[in-house]
Amino acid sequence: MAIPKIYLIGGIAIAMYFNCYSQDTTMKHKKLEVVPVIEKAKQSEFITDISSSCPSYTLSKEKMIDLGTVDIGDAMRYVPGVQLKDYGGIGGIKTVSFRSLGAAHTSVSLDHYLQPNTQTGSINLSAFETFGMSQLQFTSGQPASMDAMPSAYVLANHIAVAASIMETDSVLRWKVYQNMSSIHAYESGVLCSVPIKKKAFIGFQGFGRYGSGQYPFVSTLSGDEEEQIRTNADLLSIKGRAVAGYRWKNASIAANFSYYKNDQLLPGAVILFNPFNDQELHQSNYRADVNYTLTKKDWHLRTTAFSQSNETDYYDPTFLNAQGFIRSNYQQQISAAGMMLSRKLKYRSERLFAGVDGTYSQLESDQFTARPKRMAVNTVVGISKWLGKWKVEGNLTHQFIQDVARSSDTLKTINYSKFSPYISIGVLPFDQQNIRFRFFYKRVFRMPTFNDLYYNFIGNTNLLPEDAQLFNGGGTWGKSFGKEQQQHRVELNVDAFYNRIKNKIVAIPTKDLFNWSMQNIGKTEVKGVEAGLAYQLKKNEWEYAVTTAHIFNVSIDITDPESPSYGHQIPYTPLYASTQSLSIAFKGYKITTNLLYTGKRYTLNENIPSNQLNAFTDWNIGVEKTFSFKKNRKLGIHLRMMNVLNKNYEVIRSFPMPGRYYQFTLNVGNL
Amino acid sequence: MKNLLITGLMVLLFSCKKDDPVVVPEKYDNGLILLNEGLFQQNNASISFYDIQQGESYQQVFQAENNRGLGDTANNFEKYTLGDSTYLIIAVDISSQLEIVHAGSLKSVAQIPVFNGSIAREPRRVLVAGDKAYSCNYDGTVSVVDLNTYKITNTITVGQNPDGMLIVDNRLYVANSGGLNYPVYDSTMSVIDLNTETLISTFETRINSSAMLKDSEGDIYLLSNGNYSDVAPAMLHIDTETNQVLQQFDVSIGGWDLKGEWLYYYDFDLQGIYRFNTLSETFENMQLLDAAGHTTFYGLYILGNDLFTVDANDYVNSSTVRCYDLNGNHKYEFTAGLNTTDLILNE
Repeated sequence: MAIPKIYLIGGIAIAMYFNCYSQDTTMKHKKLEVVPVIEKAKQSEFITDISSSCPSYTLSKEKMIDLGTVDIGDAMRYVPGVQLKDYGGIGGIKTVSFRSLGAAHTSVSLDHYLQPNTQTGSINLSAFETFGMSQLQFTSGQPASMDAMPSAYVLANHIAVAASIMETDSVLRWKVYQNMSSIHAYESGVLCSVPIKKKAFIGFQGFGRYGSGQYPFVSTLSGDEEEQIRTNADLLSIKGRAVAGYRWKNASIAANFSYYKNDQLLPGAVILFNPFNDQELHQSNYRADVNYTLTKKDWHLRTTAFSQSNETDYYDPTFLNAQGFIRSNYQQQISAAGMMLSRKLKYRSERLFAGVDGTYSQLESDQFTARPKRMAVNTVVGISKWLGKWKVEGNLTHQFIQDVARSSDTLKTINYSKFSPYISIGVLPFDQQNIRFRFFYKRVFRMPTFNDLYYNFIGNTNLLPEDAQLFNGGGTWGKSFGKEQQQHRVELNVDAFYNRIKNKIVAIPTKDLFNWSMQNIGKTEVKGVEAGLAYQLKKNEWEYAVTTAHIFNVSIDITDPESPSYGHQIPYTPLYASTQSLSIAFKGYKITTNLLYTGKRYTLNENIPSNQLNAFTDWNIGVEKTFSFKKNRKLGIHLRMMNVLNKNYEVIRSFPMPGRYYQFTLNVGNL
Repeated sequence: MKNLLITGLMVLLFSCKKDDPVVVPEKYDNGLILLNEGLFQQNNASISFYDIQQGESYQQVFQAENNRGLGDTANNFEKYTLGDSTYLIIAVDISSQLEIVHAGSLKSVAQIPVFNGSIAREPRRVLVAGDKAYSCNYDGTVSVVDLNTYKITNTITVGQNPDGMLIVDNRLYVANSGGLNYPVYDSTMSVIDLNTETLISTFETRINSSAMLKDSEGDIYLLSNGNYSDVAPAMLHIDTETNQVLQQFDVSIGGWDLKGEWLYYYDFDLQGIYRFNTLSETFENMQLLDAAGHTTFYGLYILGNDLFTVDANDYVNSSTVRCYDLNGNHKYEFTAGLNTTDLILNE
């Protein structure tokens, strides 16, 4: 670990080592990086960013290897406050909620290209493999990078993923990857990035995930301890990505094309005494992106455009209707273009910015006679500014949505228009101590999705946006000390948060059991505390790191005082959860262990024993060895025991997770 | 920070503490046994017991007595006596099982899988006559179960997604809903001769029919649920001599039962309980009971001289069961399980 450099900003001494890396990116671009990306991951075992004014967490690719994650859903589990909705197994859908704001409140970008889904509003995180990823950053409040597109400012939470393939060098960079799990899940990957003279590069990435996904489990509900096998889980998914870029003196252009095909059987819920499942899911997606970035003096402009096509086909070959099967097809097309302009102010972490993007979506499906089309325009203006010891950041977003959908024989138009503000304040009151107090407020309008509005029978075209207000206040402290041979680093953060959500969009029955409809009826009050402590020691050639994070989250239903669940903790939300990690590294060897505890939860609104899902502890332990060769080539071998306690815990009721299993990973390459 | 850590440890300790075990009554006599459907894919079908004398309700009693779950989505149950013992037979839809328990102890005596190879037949309703049980299954069949051997002895093909059954003069009437065939529902009734266990007749009724009641004259009242959009629900009056629909009444019924000549029903549109006379075939104008206070009206049952209503509370919260006398006067109420779908009086 390097001795912390000291920068003087506004007369305040700030230890920069772990600080301020996140707010400003352009100034730190390596010469060799053709295309500006999120800057490289901090080489840290710590994921909590103590220098940010809003909750921010960064996982480097090394950290993701240490956690044994294969997709960003897995990785997000280690972010304090995140609850991963995980259906388990090789092809299970994964979405996240953060501090009780559901999946549709989180947007995802890959190399700053937003990955929207207008139909569902949420992104399946298991479709984003960690192979080829250089960094994952999760923020609540405001995205960290100045290259984030305006739509990323609209929602409460943002996951920004950066791919290794976009980092170029003067030499060809490549990597070959193989992962094998004893739950019959396999992954193979290859990527390379080829410089062409000094100004251009091309890159390619190929990835496959495959296997039968079978694993044994024990169901406690059936009364006996008989082991059953999770079947009908076969999966084959392939993904290809090609990129190209060119750089001038102050500008760069890059293009991306990706293809994804996924064919899988669905293991479904484990139903007592009925072990048969035969549903299938088939998906194929195409996507093309282009971006142009220009930096001139204090000005920075990024423009981007993309077009994507997603086709999903669901098939149940034994449905009990007259034809004996059911098939549903969904075809969604989304195209978007936008720009973000920022101007640096006096200091590198100060800027003024403004941007706008427009997104056109359309959906064709036998389940949507409305055949909806949507034009969405999102606009943002914002500032970050130091005022003495105070850092003030704020933005104002505007969302405009115009939907056109069939209603009987006519076309119906629905408009939404909402402004929402964000403000954060950070203060460093002491000159000698890196103590920071932080506060943020954000108002969020989560717009109804195509599913919410137009799904046959249950869709409701009178919905209002879900309305959430987020407050966070806390403090962070970081200190580095020691000598060259023995360096210590300690970080601490404590935050309290309060969210209030109204007009929650939920499906409820209206007239009878057969007439369900989406309605704005839920109200939730969320109060909680998050606390984290991290310590790292480098002594001679040894490196130790230990982290612990705890979250208390009281999220209660305040919809209807007459309801039996009034004042009860909302479903799938533990009162307490924690993560702990420990790693020891020595001369290319590394031992890591991670422990994730999730308290008991309830599957439905009422907090009664029959709705309870037991608490679980997911503990893994792994060893890694990296062999280094000439020309920076490396061979990494990684063996990990997952779910050491061997309990088939359930994150979602009726979807048991694998018990103890083993994961073997091989990485070869020069990046 | 220290306080926070202590609080954290406390939470950790408390969350590790086992919850109190389920309390069960000494016996299941003189009370109501309630079947709770649960929710699809939650494996939480359950049985509740209400001790009328003590005014106590007990939840999860099947789980407590058998140390296992009942299964997923239990729709219907029937009490029967064979030899000296009284039993309950339960149709567990998504688990595709017929579960038989002793009525006095709720201990399981048999669990009969209802499958066509690896395809679940999904039993929806169950009836008992003599030593045989009949379940109508959503795959378009009726299974015949020998209650001495607990074996399925015959499977008879009927219409699509049958969802109601009734026996008149040793003939089994099966209402074919076609509920999974929107927008083209089934609209037929299958009639099975129980002596030969063969289909003897199929006749047209009205789309999406399910529940049936038999009056003192041997006539059938059948509920047609309509198509949930432009075809409204209705009640049909069927002559079982000629197998013909005699009359259609345009009323939206969400729960009903018979007491003598009176058919008590809940009117969805008027949100109240009314009566219909099965001899004069006329509606009584006066409202017996205002049920607008029910969040989700889910069933009406008459047991003895009491009328019970089930409020499913949005289908996601525990049901509230209310007891009234036949004049509509409130007697008592209690909490049952999730989506209470059938009630039996155990005496």
